[in-house]
Amino acid sequence: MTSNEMRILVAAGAVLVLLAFLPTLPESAYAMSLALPIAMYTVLATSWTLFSGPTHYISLATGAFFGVGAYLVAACISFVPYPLLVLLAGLLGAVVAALVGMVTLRLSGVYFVIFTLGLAELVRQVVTWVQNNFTGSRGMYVLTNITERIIFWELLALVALVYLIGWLINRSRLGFALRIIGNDELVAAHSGIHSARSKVVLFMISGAFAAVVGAIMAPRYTYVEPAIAFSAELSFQVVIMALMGGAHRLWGPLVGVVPFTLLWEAIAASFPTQTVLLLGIAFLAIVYFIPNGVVGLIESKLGRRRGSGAAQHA
Amino acid sequence: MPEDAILDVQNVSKRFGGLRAVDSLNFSVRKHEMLGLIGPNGSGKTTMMNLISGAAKPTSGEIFLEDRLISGLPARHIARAGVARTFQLVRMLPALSVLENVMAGGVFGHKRLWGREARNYAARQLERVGVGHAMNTPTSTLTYIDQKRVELARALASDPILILLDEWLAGLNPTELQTGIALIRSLRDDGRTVILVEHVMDAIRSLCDRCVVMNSGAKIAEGAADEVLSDPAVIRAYLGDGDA
Repeated sequence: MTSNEMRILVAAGAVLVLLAFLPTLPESAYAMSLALPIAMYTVLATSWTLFSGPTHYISLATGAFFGVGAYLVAACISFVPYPLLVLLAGLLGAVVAALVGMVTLRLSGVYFVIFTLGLAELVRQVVTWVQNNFTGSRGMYVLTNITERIIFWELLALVALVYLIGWLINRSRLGFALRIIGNDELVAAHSGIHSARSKVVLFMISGAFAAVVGAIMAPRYTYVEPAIAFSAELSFQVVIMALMGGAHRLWGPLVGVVPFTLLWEAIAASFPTQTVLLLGIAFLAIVYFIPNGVVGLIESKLGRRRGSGAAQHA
Repeated sequence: MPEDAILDVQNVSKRFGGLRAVDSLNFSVRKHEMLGLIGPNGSGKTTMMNLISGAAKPTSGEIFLEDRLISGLPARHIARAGVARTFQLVRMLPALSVLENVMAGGVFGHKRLWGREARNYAARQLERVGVGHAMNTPTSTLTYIDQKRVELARALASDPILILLDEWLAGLNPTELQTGIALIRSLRDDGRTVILVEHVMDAIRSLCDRCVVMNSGAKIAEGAADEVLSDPAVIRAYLGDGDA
């Protein structure tokens, strides 16, 4: 580890510790209502970038993994301890990602995008069908004594974990392999890389994080039903935030998450039906003006845009 | 199979539907040998290279690398077993630096280095092919011949048993061509085992210890470069009946 990396690590740790005190401040309710989604989207968008950043495979499956985690908690909270459920959600997310990955990662480009979009809908329909036919009610109550404050701390811990794992991946052979695959799969194969396996492993890590976020958020919803848990909108939001910030850097998504979430909350407060418009405009803005995200824009202005940060440390 | 053979191709065929791109080919490559695989356009040379490197699987026949059967294995296994290649149309990894482009070969291929060792070894290969000065630049700033050199360095970085050069000299101008030929010759002086597919006759004459000539997928001649290039069957294949 270089001294520069050490400094970044210490600074990032200090910021997280400071943020952890946010819920204890007086009159923090409004700040929390913004900080909580920011923390949630930071984990989702960053873990999305772990996979989609280097490979350029656009996954719209975040909603599916999130829903799997949330539903696991809703279905089992009455007889399984909550911390165990959070771990199981991660495991389940990884398993679903592995299955989906093995089937679809041989597909490329737009086929992969469409399949992942369909996945959330597929899982939602299956869950709805099972509930209609076997359990009688469509939704489920998640009644716990987990407060918003605890959820926020859990998410902060997850933020720390996703950055740590992302940093470790960037330094690893796996991270290097993924960047080569993203550039040219033929060269990757002829260099000795098992590209299908590398992609599936990364997709599993990414899916596990989204499922854990779903499990952590479930108690906040109190009532979980398929339409809430498996939301396509969530998948799109995550993609747009990550791309808006910049998917070629680990910390890129954060730059997109913060302004986008604030804007989203502001619009949702005054014009609740117009949030989809924001998604559309943000998407157009990314495609036309900032294909490499805000971070890419800044870097090219500074004239030092190179390959990913892992480049120098690989 | 000669005793010191590195690669042994036995009765290999590749069909694409009704087309026999490679037709019952037999040849072997000895250690430290530079073998030219030549023939007119469409004679199946690149297909043969793809069969060796695992980009395609033979319809029938066997390919051995030393004692190991490699035909039918996926490309990544063949790369790890010790076959490295360059591509007919140069393939850079544009988002990676020049050094990282070369490291790709060393990290995952036959050699499997990591960290500082991988970087140093890749840097040595870049020096070796003459682009040491451009180590940390983006590949987009390189000239065509330098991109070809980087690709060669990537192949060398895995310290392969066998190197496949698919028209490595194609597209170079006359000055670059001399530099290129000298570079390939220096690989031979290093004791590398190389198969080169080439159209540049000067290069074939001056570089190849031995040539295998293909036409319509089949071997029509084999021997020293001067010998096969004056073989009537070879001249007929290249130029047609009237000139033979």
